[in-house]
Amino acid sequence: MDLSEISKVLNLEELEKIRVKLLGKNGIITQQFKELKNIAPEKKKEVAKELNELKEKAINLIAEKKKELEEKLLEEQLKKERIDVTQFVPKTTGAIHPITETMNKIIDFFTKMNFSVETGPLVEDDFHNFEALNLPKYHPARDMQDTFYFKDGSLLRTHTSPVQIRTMQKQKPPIRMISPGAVFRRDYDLTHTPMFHQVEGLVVDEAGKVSFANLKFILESFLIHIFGDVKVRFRPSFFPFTEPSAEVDISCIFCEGKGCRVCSQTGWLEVLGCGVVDPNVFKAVGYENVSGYAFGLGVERFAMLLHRINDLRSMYEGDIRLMEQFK
Amino acid sequence: MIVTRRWLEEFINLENISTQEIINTLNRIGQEVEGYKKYEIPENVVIGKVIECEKHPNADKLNVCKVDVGEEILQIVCGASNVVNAEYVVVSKVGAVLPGNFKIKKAKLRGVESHGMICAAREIGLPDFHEGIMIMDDSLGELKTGEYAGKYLNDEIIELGVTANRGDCFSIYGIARELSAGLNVDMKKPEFSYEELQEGIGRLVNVEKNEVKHSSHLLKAINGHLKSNLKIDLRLALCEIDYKNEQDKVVKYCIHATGVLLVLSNIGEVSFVSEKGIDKYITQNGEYIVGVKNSIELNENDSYIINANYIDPEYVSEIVFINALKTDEYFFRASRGSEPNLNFGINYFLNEAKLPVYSGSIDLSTETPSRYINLDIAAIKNIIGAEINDKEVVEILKKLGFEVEVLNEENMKIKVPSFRSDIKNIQDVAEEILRIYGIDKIDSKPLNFEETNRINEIMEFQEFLNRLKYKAVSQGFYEALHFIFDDKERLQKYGFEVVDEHLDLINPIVKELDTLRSTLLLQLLEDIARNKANGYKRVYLFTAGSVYNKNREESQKIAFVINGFEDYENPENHGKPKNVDFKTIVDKLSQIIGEFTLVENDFHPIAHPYQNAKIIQNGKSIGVVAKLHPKIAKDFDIDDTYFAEIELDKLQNVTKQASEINKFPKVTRDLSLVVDKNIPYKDIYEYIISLKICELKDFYPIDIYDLGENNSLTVRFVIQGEKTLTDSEINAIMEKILNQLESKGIKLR
Repeated sequence: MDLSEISKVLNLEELEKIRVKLLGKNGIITQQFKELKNIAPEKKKEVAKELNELKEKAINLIAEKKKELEEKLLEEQLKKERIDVTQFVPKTTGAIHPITETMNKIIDFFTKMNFSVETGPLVEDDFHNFEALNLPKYHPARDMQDTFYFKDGSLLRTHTSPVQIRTMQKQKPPIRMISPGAVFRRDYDLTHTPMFHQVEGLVVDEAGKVSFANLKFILESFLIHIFGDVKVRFRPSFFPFTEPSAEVDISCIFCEGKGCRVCSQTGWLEVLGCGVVDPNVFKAVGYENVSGYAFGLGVERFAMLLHRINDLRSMYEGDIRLMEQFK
Repeated sequence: MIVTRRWLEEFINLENISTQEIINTLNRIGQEVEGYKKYEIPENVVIGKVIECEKHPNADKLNVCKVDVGEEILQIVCGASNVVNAEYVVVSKVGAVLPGNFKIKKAKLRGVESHGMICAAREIGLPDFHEGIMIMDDSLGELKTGEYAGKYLNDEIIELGVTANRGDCFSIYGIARELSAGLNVDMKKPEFSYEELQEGIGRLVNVEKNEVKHSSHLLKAINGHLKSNLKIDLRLALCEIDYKNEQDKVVKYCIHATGVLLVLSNIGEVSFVSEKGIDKYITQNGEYIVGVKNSIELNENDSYIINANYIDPEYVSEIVFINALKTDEYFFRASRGSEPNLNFGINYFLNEAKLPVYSGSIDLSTETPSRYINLDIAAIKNIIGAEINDKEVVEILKKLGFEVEVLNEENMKIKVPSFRSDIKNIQDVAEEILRIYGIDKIDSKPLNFEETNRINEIMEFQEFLNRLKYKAVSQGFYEALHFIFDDKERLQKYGFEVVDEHLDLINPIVKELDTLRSTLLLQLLEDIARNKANGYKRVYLFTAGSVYNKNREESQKIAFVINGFEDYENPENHGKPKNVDFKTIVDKLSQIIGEFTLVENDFHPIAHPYQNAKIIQNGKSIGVVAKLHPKIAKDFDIDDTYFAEIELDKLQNVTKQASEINKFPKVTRDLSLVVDKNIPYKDIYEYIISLKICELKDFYPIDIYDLGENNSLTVRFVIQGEKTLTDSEINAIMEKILNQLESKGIKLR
């Protein structure tokens, strides 16, 4: 008997017809089984065996073919569902402000180094913003910070240092804190905005314990964490609230210290101010027999360096042209 | 503060020391170098002597000069009128290349040959400080015809950011003194000379009153007409120093050189008075408030009194502050600490004035008491955090002008030099040692400290706020940041709260930023307008920050605005996405701050009166969500906008508690109701909630359409029991709900 027609079948309907023709109630093979009773007993066994083999072969061939045809059918169906995946061009919107992002990065470093985060009011008094920080009313260094004043004598803090004073007044040493937040100076031009952000740090412990060398360690670690493989340079400087004081530079991240427009050909970028806390500051908060260091940085400067942002003002205008670059 | 290398060399020997090394040293010891410029005169620019000068035959304004340039005499046509009286000048010979790639060639001017150019300072790359051509004199060295002009004129300038505590460094001499310590090079002994007259100062200057109490003065008198010279003119220009007149040039030059306060007046009667603690030096030409302001105007009289003076910087700062005095550059120097060595200042001036000097002086100086500090060497080492040996400490201090007396191994007594008014305590001394020793040489050391749990509420709040921000970003919002200032008139115009007048800013920077904001919204609306103008069709912005009420109390808010397309343009929406609507802002907001309910809001200054809701979360009103009033949208030049503003301290950062998961099947049933348009859904919600059916897990509207007077409202109910509920049990629940609604006049459709 010829089973080869099974392999020639093109679709499931034809295959079913053949199955019925061979194996259906009245199918050829079924018929032949029925004929067995008419076969001589001595031959019956052999014929039956052949017949069973034939039936099994037919069943297998049909099953195989069925599977093949079903797969083909599915494939055809899926093919029809084909889409051009390349036409999907999702447009993402939404981004965190680079100042927030940078602030978070800075806070993360210090909190992981076991610093606490402290905040304070933006509207401050003269004592916390100036007097307690060794800036008496007539100090020439007050010129450095042009201040917004209110009619009742309050002012907008010119740095986040008053938070350090408030924290020292509230807590006992040891202190290990940073104070991130907005600060205000009366200055508005291409490179200055009347509000900007700072993160300042303060560590206070018992007398003789905290040194300039400790300050160097934390700031070097911090700057390398933020800017990667840079050289760090400390330059002696002056701040009323620290003594000794220093400004901290990193090797220019744009020209790798060779000298370029951004670093004014010096190869260095100034990024931080720091120093050993002046004894007058401790006196103002009633601390005795302590030592400490303090540092401060401008978040805008860090954000602009890290993200190569040129225009300071665009950061305060909800400008999507800038923001969409940080998606 | 600008210094020039050649000027520094008057005081310190800088031979074999490159300017780069000087710059590095200054930076290292805390004198920040903010700028550097080298002035180098081009080659073939030489000193010439004008030996003949005649009018050009064909041009009124030109002169034809014969100029001796050493090896030859050149004919040069010159247009400057002051060439007529010139003797020594600067000549750019043929072949010289001047700044701007200006090549000097042989030329014919109106028919007369010209072999070079007589130059002005700016033409050879120097600052522009005079009219006409530059007339050379021997103030910068004996002039020799044919000599390269750079020998006299080349210089390098270094601009320094001198810090406010270092008044002693606001002079060439002061910076030389710093360099002497930094480079370990000795200072030169200054040599001064002048002609002394027989006549004494006492015969010309009468001191009418002498009541000064707080300042020192040293007076000398000179005879003749005080004139500047090329050296003074050039260096004042290089150092960008302003002056009032010819005599003032010499005074300013000497102040800049020495750091001593110098005041010049004409010969005559003078008085020293002291009123309310303010010392005044009164001359016939006007008065000088000592260390505060100089209002003396010289007259034509050709004899002068020079007054070198000093006043304690803290004292003068205090009286200026207390009396709110007007000040000038004298105060700038005096308040930071001017040079107290009055003799040095006077002698420098007399040497530069080059005029005969009346003998004697009027000396009203008082010795300022010296300051001594006891140094505990161990404390110095603790502050710095390094082992610096004692010998080195002594050496550094001596180099800086301190007198050191070693008392024993642990202690020394030091005398602070009179010019260092900033050194008061041991930490000030530690700074001096650190900066000269070199911060680079200090090894960084980690601090050993006791670990403490330093996590506080502030950190938790910041993390909570950050999570909100990142959720907003994932909903497509950009974060905006603004100044906390706003325009008071604008806030008032829209009816927002404003800070009370008596608590408001005195000195705003501009009118638009003249008060503290009470809302974040107006700045966001401005942002929308700007972004629209930049072509953005979908603007989602948020910001978080401080706002102030009328009592100027600070609180934190977060605000959201959406405008334009809800989605981006794509094939699915055929490039025409639908615009944002009330649902958009409500959905976005709940994705960010969690679920809430809304109730109608009576009033908001900038809201659409009928699309305006209070946001209720955990039973509290936490803020507002609304459509922007179209009138206000028009003011800001924007179209349909929706906004939300939320009080951050009312958002709760709660730890969620899980209940056991119900494994039984959930069933949904819908009810279509006929509802009066005046009944808000909130009422229906309350009616159903009041039944307290525990199997009713959730219900929400799924369809609303207009039936005229009424609306058709379809509500979907989600029912789940503590067992598999039968149909009749479910029907009983639905029955209960329907009965309740019908009792309130709401019928099944």
